[in-house]
Amino acid sequence: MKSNKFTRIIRNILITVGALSSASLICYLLMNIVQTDTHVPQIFILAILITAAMTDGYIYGAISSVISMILANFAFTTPYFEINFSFAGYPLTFITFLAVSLFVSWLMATKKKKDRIELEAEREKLRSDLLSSVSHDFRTPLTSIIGYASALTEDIALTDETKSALALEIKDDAEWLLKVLENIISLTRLSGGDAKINKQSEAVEEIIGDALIKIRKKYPAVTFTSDIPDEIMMVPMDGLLIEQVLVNLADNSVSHGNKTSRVSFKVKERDGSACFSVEDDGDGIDEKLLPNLFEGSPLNSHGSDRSVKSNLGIGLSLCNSIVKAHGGTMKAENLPGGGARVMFTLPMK
Amino acid sequence: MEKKEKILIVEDDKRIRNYIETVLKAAGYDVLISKSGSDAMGLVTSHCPELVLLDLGLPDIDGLEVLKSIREWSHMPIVVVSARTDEGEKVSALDLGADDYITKPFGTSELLARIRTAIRHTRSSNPEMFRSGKFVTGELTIDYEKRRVYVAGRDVGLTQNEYKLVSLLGKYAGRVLTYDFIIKEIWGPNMNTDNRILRVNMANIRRKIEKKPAEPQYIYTEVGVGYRMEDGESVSDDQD
Repeated sequence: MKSNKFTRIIRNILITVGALSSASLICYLLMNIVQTDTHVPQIFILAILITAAMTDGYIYGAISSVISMILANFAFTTPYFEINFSFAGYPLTFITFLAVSLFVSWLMATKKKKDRIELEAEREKLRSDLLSSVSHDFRTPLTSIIGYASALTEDIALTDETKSALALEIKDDAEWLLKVLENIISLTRLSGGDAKINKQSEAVEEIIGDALIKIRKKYPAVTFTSDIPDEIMMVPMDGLLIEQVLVNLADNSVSHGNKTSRVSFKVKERDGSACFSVEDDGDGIDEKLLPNLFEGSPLNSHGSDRSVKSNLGIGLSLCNSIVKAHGGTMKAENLPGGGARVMFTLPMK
Repeated sequence: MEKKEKILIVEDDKRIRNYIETVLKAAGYDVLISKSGSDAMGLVTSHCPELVLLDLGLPDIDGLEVLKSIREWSHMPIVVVSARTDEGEKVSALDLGADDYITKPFGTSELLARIRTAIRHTRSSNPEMFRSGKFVTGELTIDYEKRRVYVAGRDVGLTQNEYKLVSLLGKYAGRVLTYDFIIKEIWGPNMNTDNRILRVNMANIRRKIEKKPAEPQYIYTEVGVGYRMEDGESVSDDQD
């Protein structure tokens, strides 16, 4: 934090010195060409303007106008290289310089403040959107968990078969809640400003392999396959997050594809990037949703239908954030023969 | 029936403690309970349980400290219970000598399987391996005398480092070995922790012993933690 402040000060000083010396240099060159000094104040005004606009606060602009005044007086107006306080426009020029600098600094400060307020408002909106979507997403399975659990405990006549079916529903809903929770945690970790991703050189086959084990455990009835290059492919990434992306995408394929029976993970190298794709043979993605599928307004994904649980919004915008944080891109399309394909790239360097 | 095995549960949350206690008692274990780290250390010395199930987030002492102090004098199996989000914590626990970890939330069968594996491992570290000098799992055989690895009877031709890696994982089969631990064992303590060299060696090994490197049958990856060798054949006496 301290060193950050220090670098800002250095930057401000460099801008000030740079603008002033450029102005002096231009005045000096022009002086030798055109033999007049009427342009001097304008050029220094420009330097002050630039300084005031690009530095923080009022101080650099103000200093710059004082120095400009002295430089203009001393070096670039007759008599050259002599301070002459007696020439007529002196106080007026100085006041103009100072006024310009203060006004521009003020304008910039106001603009920065306004930008910050807007950004904060945007973040706040995102947060409240997320919160209301989360509370909606949580409420549905919680309602069923509470409902089933009370049916089990409140001595209603149920067959053993029904009882175990209810217990299974409770387990499913709880697991689904856990998945949403994990996604939300990762999402807030990523969107918390400085994205903390821990990039290491990982072998693609290991990430795919572990993702396969996890997703197969969850959906034993679906066939999951992998298609990756024979040679070793090392890609810098946060292995856990990319695994989470793969598992999320495969999970979506099964839970939103309705009749999905096969999902395959494919990886290829193209133009210095690793291209991952997750393909399924399900119903495909609604064409209306495709254009801004990842733009993550979790609100527009509300299906109250329990089989189409509305985690799609959070899950996909999380995947997109993770890929973006790695410097990659993500897109989705429907396959000509039916089914969907979601692709993302990760730079290999 | 033989004497019941004693398991110490160290967990401060009442609901999770009750859940684990119920499951373990139903599975025929003798259960000891402790709500805090200091309590746990006392119970460990006075009761010498067969296994400790240690939650890392305790109210009084850091769970890792409890682990460290038990490891100063005992090799008893310790299975760490950790929160799902923190991979770094699992790695520290394994590096400090935990036998295994289980992440919250977990199902009953997973919990019991981890406990059985951990207890079996300390009883005798692979009795079959001691007798024959060989480790066998599926079609994979590690011959520790000849320093060779075979798949379906065929020598797979590992390099020296590759053999060291496979034999190390075989020695601790069923347990996750962290990247750091493996690197220190094979390349020595002065090797800077460059995971890349380990990844590449592992990729080469997989191409020699696995049918499909992305769908391994013998050496599994636990992303962000380490590698684990499929448990050995000597498991067969465990089917009950």
